[in-house]
Amino acid sequence: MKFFTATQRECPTPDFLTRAGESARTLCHAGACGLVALMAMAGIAAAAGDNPADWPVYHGNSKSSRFSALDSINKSNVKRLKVAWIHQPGEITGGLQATPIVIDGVLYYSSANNKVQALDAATGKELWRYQPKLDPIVNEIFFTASSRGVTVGLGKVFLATLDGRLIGLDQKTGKEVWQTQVVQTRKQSGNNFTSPPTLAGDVLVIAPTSGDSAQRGKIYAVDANTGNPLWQFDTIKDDPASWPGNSGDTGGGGGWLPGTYDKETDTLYWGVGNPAPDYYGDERKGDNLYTDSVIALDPKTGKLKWHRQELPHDVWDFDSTYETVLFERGGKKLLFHPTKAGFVWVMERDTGKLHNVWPYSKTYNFVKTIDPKTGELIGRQDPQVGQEILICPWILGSRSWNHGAYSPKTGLWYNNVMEACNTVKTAKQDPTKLGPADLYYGVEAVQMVPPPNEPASGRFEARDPETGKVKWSVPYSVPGLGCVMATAGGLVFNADVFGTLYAYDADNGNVLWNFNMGSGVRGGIVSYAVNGKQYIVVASGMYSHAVDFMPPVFPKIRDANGGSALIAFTLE
Amino acid sequence: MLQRRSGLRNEETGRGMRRMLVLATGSLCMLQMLCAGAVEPKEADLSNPEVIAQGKKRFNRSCFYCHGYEGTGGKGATLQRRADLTPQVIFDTISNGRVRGSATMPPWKSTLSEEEIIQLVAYIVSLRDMPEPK
Repeated sequence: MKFFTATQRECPTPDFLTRAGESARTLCHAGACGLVALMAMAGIAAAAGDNPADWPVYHGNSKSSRFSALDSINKSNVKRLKVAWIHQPGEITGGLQATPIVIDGVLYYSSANNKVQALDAATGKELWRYQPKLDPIVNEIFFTASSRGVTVGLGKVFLATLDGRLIGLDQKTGKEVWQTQVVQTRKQSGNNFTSPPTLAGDVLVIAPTSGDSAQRGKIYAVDANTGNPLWQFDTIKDDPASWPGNSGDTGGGGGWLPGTYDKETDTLYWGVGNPAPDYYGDERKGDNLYTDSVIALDPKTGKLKWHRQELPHDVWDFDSTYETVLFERGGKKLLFHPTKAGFVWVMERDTGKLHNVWPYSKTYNFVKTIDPKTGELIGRQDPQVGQEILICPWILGSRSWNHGAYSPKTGLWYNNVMEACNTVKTAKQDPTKLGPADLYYGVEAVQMVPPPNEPASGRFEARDPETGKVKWSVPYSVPGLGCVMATAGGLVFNADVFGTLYAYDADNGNVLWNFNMGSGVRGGIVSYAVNGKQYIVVASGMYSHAVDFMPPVFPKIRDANGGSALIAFTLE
Repeated sequence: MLQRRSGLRNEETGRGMRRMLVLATGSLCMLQMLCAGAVEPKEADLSNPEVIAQGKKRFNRSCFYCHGYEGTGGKGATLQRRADLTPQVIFDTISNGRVRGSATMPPWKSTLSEEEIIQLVAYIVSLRDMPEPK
């Protein structure tokens, strides 16, 4: 199992050696590098194949936990963090939503409108850039500008574009190697890609924006080496009991965000989007499989291994597209899946058997409860035509897509939460009259409101992901919209929408360090090492359409400034 | 190919100049119309209750997520009590969209007809009379 490249093995005077002492130094001189020794001593076993000096995939590692096993930046020295370098891609439209990838000392990320950059991860110096020529349709659709990053592997950098393509670039030069038109953004209601694809061996898999569009969402796979199409998974099950009449043809679904690939079992996990029209379910009376489900696919064939639908016949816009995190408890191989609905589903990885369901929302009312043993929705509240109904959580969910982080060191899940509701009057909407800018919500009126009897609120909290038990919680006047990172140094990094980056003590939520970056975080926070020196990199640049939705209940977000800067920190 | 003949030079030149002027003016007008959405919302439409009602219906279906119910939301300023927004500016912005700093608004001209956009303009103009929130 190769852990470090020749460059990293040199590690001249890595900070951690001053703590680890002679045994680590000996190991380093022997070429095995002290980081491995330290991790073993600390009992933090890196997942097989994960190199802690890299941030090789979107969620940081093969467990999708956004946890860095590096610990030379830790509770005792985090106060000494300083800015190492800044990279500004030059366009602030849409904010900076990417989670960078770092492999072998090179950082790869995409900024607004699919511009891709490769940087020297130690200095921020640009090595190459690539800008696809986008179809002008991207300026007419609702889901514009957003680009959550790229995927790196097999000597290539992979980009999924706003105009429905997958592109493979040469990892060293950024030159285009292949491109494939996967969805027809012009013809398919603005259906496009706003997230990086997921690499599963030689198979590259991507899911489009779909749940709010009048089309049939699929998950697509191509050969990563050539771009040749391999398979499609229809997230709209071909079953009239599930989708009566033609309702499936405009049923939404899709997947929005990246999946989790488990190399051990060669399984691709994905969270599927909501059915369309979002709030009007009268013409799709059925369970609407596989929307709002966790699905486990064979990446070579796209065949379904198992599925668990979390919300049958969703009429609240609660897409289930968020991260699937792999973890273990009591010897069981589990996954936990947080959702927009404000609940976390915990399942057995190999079968989808339900282990637990627990709420992280405190004000939900779309159901009375969900049976933790069976997953049954009890006391559901469905919108009715012509009547106004209060639904909690609101259209943005108990959390937006910004991912949480799980630390195997503390056993805790760190997550941003918001409590807000909306009133809804549902109505039929003609899907044939939708243009590229329109969404297929199926409403007559929606009003964002606080929860009953309390103000709308935000918080950042640490919970046991198996049981939901709260360890600590910190209030946020405006909910955090950025992704979280946890580290083996006992730290958790999170930022607010205004630009303050916090390093928390992972055990108790105390703020150990903070820094004002000038613009908030919507994208990712990552960590990596170059020549044994650890860096933290943050995507600072606040905006996405969520920001537009929020002012009625979080008016202060109007003061959040836009921006676009990748900021790297390291120890003095 | 034009040929100059000394006896007729001034008259032909004059006609040619006038032709060019008409062409240029016409092009400018066309350009302005294209840029401005080719329509100027009429006062009669803006105060027509039926037009306003249609606009309200569409606004609360297609504009609420970024602009809030009855125009209260949005990263930008509220759309209520906006005497500074002329009907033409509202029409042009809805038609052509807008990118301002980090915020984006898509152009709606390929999604909505001119009549539908005018309905929205009428509704937003009617929001000028909304009282200040308590």
